[in-house]
Amino acid sequence: MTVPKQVLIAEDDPLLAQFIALQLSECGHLPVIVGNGEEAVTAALSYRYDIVLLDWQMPKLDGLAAATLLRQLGYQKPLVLMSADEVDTSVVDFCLQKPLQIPALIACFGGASAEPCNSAEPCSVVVAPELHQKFRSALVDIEQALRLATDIKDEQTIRHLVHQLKGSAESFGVGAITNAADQLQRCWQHQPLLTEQLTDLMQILAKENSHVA
Amino acid sequence: MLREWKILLVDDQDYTRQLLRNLLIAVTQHEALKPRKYSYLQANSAMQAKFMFNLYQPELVFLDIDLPDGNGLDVLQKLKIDREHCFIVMVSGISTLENVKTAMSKGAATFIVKPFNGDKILSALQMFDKFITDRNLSNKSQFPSSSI
Repeated sequence: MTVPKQVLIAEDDPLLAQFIALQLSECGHLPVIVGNGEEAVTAALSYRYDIVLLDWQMPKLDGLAAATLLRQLGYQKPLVLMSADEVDTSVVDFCLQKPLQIPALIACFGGASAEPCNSAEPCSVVVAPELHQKFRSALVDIEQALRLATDIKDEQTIRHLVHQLKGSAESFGVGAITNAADQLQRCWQHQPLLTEQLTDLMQILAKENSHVA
Repeated sequence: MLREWKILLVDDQDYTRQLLRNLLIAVTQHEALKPRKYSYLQANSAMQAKFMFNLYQPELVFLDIDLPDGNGLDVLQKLKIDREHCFIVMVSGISTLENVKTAMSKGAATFIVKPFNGDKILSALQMFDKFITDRNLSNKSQFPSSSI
């Protein structure tokens, strides 16, 4: 039985990326696509993925440079480099030559399931109840502050509070808040902030804080 | 008797520092890491971080980029000038490649993107382990009779 793996596919050819993703989905895995090496590095650093597929020739940062940077940062999860040329490198765990043979790709997953001995299991930690309570209290304050900042259109405070939520909520078991905040931050990197965009996040916050009340 | 290693946690949010401390206490027990004794220091601003760093000389620092009185990357640069061989983990809620590369170029040993989790902390501590081992080996080869 296949153990579903979270797979990051960094491939700038959208059709090829979709093809790979479809094959992996049909094998029971959970692929996510990014289109360049910069996004590959930032996505990989979320540590959400069990294995990262990197096309060598990509805009912004090529696959080999992305792999090298990740290893410099201590990233130890399996990396697969995909290239039309033969590549001799020890930076990645597997090199696959294009055109991609899906059985060869799937075989990497079999190799990847034998995790390095120092990261055999995800390292999970229980947060102390009193610390949870502290966060819950802070969450109520943040919701109020965010409402006020939204009412008066204080963009700087809104960005700061959303940033704060993105960085903390998931650690305290509220991944939905982190995800919503992360989406807003990404959106605001390329588009102006509109307070209407905060509706989803405010609803999630209200729901979480209603459990506390 | 185990040497005590000092870890400085720099973040303006109290619950974030407490969470990080919570995680470090748990993860430092992981079998993949060398058994070490740690004590924890905290700072909530750039000014306090520099003060604590100079006063207590921690071996390991977790440094947030966003501080109320300054940019963590500037603090990083200052700390590395004061003590080149300190192991500094840069922390941020936003992982732009620019941030990551700038941090590395200013001397950060690695970069963690919030939210924290056990795997990210474990990776950083494994790098710290290797850093200490490599330094010990380097010191022994230069001064064969000395030990750390």
